[in-house]
Amino acid sequence: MTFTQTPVLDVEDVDIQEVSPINAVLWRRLGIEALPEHETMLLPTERLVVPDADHLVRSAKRLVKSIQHVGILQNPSVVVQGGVGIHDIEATFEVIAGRRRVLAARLAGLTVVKCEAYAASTIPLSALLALIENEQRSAAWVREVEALRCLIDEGVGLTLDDLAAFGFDRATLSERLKIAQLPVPLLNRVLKGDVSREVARKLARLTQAQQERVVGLAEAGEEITGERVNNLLRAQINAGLEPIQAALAQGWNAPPSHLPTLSNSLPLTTPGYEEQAGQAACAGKESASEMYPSTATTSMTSLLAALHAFAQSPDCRTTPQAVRTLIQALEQQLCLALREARSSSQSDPTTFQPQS
Amino acid sequence: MFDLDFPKADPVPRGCGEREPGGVYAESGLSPRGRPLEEFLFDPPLPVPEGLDLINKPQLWQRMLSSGELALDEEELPIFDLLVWVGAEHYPYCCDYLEEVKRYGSSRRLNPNLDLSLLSRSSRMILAHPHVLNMRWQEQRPPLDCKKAVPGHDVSTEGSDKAEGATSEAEEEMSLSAFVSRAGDNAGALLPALPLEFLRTGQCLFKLWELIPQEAAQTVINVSEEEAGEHHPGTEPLPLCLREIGSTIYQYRPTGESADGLVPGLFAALPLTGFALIRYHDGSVNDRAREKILAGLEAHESHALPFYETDR
Repeated sequence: MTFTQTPVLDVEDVDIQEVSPINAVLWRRLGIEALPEHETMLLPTERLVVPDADHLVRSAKRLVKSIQHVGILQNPSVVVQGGVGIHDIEATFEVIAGRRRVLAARLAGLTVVKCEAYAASTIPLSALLALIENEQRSAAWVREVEALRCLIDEGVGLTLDDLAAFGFDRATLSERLKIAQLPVPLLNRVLKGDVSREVARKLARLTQAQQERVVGLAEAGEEITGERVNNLLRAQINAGLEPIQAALAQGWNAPPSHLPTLSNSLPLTTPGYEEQAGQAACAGKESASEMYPSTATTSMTSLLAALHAFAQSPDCRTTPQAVRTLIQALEQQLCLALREARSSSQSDPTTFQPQS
Repeated sequence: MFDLDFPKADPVPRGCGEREPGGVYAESGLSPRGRPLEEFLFDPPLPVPEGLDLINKPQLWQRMLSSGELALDEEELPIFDLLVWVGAEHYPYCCDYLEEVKRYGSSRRLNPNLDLSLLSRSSRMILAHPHVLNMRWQEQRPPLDCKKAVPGHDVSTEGSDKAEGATSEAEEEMSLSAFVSRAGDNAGALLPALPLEFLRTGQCLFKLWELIPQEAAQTVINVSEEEAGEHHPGTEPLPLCLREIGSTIYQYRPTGESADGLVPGLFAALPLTGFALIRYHDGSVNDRAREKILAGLEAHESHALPFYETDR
């Protein structure tokens, strides 16, 4: 079965026919005058041969959902095998560009795929077609931005979730959407290809006021360079961080006068506690005698020792889980309280709450 | 080279799991001479600056003075801070992370491609979480306790009474005197002339504990009126909830108020105490990160951040 018609996306045909200066140089080096004649054909998937399919199948799976929803938007390029005519009903075709799309189409259950079928190919031609497709793909983000802007302008109420259901990556979509919402003069520059993707992403992170400022610069004929956008973004973020930076510059970690203080005369160990505390959750790396001055005992330390002893005892294992959890929570809480007590008399401005 | 006896984070299993072989971690360790964590918290928390793309992308940020000049450390080198996102996938509530840090210190994995040589002892680890700023604070009760003791944060029940339309003149007077007594003498002279709504000085970081829903607790202990201790006047005693995350178990008392108003914010600027390089199974560490840290040691000399190599 053969099928010849204008490609679904005219723009792609134009893209392929329009040879960029870089590609023109490449064509000449490869000895290619022009692309050979080809036809758009609807071909059964079983007649399509995908080289290196085993290595591609994993990445192809990502396209399945998208193909199930919207089909293949860009026709794969294939070349007939075995020197037969492209209309021969027995002809098989090697996929030279769009191998993942064909594999994904099979996985999606499609039995036929619309392809650009070439009667003959050479290695340079295959490479060239793949290159052209990759170049188109690298600019695909601009087309995605344009499509999203159309959806916005048309008032289509699609959410990111709706779009993600088509298999699009959420974070990428979110980024594209922000770019699509740039002020029109900036968006036009993006769509014309005057702004790199990296710069477009940074423009999208600017506040509306800053974006308008860039519009003003652009309208005044100034170039929108990556460095300029970077500087604006940096200044904007610095303004947001100013309260922190100002506080840090003024030695913000000095204790406020109203900070509640704990008594530093808390007491401390009970005989024999050191051994137990060595295994306690709070003990960390130092011995209990280092943790707490050994001059006295207190109810807190005694309680901690008692809790720890109980937590280790067979009796504890028979208590309900809630009680055991509560004991653990209390142990941690008591450790914190004891550390706070000790730290109130010794402080080091570079670190916080004592561990041991 | 440097004294290895510096404060380190405890290598316990955390909310985000265990440290991974080959990983490089910035640490804020605990020290017997340290200061309470509360001193390093932003209260009220601060909004994440617009345009700062921080999610899962730890980054270095050069510190500026308000004059626009670069902030310099003791070695006259520019100070860089580390901006880090604490994700809700591992720490659904900001309190989860704070409670963990209180017990075990902070340890955050870094991208080894960052120029770690720029960090020094003057650097801070500035932390953000997706649920920190409370946009509904004005319609909620003030927290029972503000550990930063920010005047107005835990000022009586004025917020809740007002929300319920129950504020009488006498109650207002009571609220006021409660506030003045808590805020101290300095505030006393100024505050009686202010209308009550001014007593609420903005959202409080410590309200976050009260906004954790009861369902987030693994253990819930219902308490009687006598056992309840301090609680919001006019309300039922709140259950005692125990939440476990990583190696941390902490308690909180949920008020049942909505956490829907929580949005991303910056909540802490912890001091950096060093780096931990986690060994691969063959005993080696991430060489790229190590080289950068060594370059930092050379550049910052006595002001440099130390590092250690460890299996976990």
